[in-house]
Amino acid sequence: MKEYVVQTYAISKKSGRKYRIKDVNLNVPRGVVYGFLGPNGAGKTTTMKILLGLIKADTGVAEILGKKMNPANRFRINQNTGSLIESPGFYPHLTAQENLEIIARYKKLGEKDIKEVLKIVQLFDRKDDKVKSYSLGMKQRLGIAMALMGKPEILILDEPTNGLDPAGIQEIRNLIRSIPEKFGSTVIISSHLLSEVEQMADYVGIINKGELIFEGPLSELETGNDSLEAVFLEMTKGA
Amino acid sequence: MNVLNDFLIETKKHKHRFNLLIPVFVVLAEIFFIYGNYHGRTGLENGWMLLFYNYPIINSLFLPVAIACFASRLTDIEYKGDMLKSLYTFSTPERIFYTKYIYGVISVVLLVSMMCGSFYINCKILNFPTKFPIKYLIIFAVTNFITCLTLFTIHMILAFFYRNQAVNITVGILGSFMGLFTAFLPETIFQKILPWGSFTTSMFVRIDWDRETRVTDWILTDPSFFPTVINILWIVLLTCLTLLMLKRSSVEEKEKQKRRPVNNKISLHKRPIEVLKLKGSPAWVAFIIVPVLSAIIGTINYTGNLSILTDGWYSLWSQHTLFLCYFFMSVMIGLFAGCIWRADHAGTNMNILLTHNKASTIILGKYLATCFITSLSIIWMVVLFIISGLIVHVDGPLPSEMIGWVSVGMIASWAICAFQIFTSLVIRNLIIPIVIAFIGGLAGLVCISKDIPYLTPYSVFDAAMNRGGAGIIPSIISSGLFIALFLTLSILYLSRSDAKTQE
Repeated sequence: MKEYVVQTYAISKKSGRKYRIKDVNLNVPRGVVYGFLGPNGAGKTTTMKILLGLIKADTGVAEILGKKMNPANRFRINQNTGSLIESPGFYPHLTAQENLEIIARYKKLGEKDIKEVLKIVQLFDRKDDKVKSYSLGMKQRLGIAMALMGKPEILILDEPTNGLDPAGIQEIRNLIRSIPEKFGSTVIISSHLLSEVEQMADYVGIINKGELIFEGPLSELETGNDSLEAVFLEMTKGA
Repeated sequence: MNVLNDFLIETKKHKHRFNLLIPVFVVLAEIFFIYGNYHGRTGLENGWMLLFYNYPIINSLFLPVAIACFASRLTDIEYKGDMLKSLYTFSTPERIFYTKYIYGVISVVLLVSMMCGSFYINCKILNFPTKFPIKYLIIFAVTNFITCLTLFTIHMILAFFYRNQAVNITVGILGSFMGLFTAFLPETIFQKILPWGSFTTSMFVRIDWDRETRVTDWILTDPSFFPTVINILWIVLLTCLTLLMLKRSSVEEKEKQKRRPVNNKISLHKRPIEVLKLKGSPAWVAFIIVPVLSAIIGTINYTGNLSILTDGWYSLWSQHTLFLCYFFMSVMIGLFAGCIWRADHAGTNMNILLTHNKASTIILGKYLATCFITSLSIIWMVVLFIISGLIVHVDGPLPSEMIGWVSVGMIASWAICAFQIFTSLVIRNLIIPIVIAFIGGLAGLVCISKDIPYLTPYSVFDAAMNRGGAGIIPSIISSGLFIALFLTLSILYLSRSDAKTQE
């Protein structure tokens, strides 16, 4: 029996009459890198926001670390999560260090943690510069640093390699790959690139037009001689 | 043809923004204000003169802030979505600026025409004869149009060249304050060259108040066009300045990357988190400067009118606090609450904020910061009051009840803070909550004149600061209820609704 850190039971969310996601059942085992895959607009971000309690599902339940997510305990559950949703959020008129400090105060962490994440994403030398002077890639790194603060049990990253250069992408991939072992965390990472997920994830969920169409270990996805990309295209086309 | 095309694009951009509601609001507020003050009075055969006297005064109070807000709304859309960098690739800075400018000028024309129209409405509902020399209405329209245009030019420059719209609004508030206050001082050359003062310096109806009979009479004088000429000079000067600045402008470069020596130590800040977020923001400046202006002008006015103001400290107090409390405090609180939410409404910051915090912690943090700066400003006002009193040698001891007024006033100001925190949470915009604060200040005044001061937080505050014109216990109860109500609403709203980001 596997232990799941995140489970959802038929969560749906509508905007107007249209379903943004419909009856999604996610099961994320502990200690894996879970690749959450789907084309643009498939409902990845919506699902992740529900996992963090940022938006409420119309129907269905999300359980994080065995606790049901709701407005009352969202904040307590999220003491154990780190996240980067949509594009990184930050206060542009403050320095990177001050931005991280705000997170540190929210999560009741200290300067040691700030220093550590700054080193991990290699922004330590630029920590006293205002974030508005940062390039897109540096902002993305800062967003990842914010998510890493306090070595959370669950790390939820929404397309974390956006805006990074090839070297940066490689570096972040290696970092994410190493996180379960280093921090003992479970990582949920969304992407619209199968090739990317293939290099990082052990476990995959594929969502298309709001519905989860596949979930399982990456190895199960490999069918016959077809390349993974072809399998993915085939799956998302038909649904 | 290009100009027309650009203009049409500009109007498309403002779809769903309801910009024209700002002038409509202003005109409605003016009708409302004058109606509230003068309805039911008889024997005003020359009522139209009364209107020509009152309109400029109300204008100098309303219009500077309204125009600043309007200019901000015109330019803020480009900054919000970082649109300028793509606009600059297919248009020139001059074209972008002047298309907006033309849009604004047309709006100002509309505003002034509506104002002239409202003249007749006011005459009708107040039963004033509508037959008066049309010449005066035309003079009124022209002088007010030029004044509005000058202010619009100033605020357009501020709104366009400073990304942070708080700068623009703060100047609007200060301008409104100076314009209104100088209207009650002996006329000086300073007032005549001050664009904000020209609403009142170019008016042609003077008031004559007979102290013995307590009869007010209005007298027509020759219109003075000097302020209008000065305003035209201002417009020319500012236009040259604008052209020069536009020539040198480019899309705001990312801040120069100063290579600082790498500092291996991490030193944490001590200040509260909400204060840290406001680092470098000018939101608090008005809280410090406006009381100083109020104190200076109030003291000058007091010493100039010693024959009427015979109540010593009491008279001085009313001179110091009159306009500050009636109008400006609520607008400043509105501005501050707007700024404190703006940082978190921007981008995807709401995601971070909500993942890590209880709704109640967020609301209380922002609420306490707003209360803190407001209270500080009130204390500052008292300090300035005492200093001014000592300088001009006011007779007698300080009124001991003052502690009572100020404490009740402070509690009432916290109710305004709660309301503004709620408003700025729900309306994810800097300008509209400020307009609401302005209208709130006005509504408060009406409530006081109708003797129901406990109905709005604004009127409780006004009444308390106006020599404790409200009962202590009911004021505290009323403020407490408002605070509880709006904080609860805010917390419920924030915890029940989905996180909203600008993505």
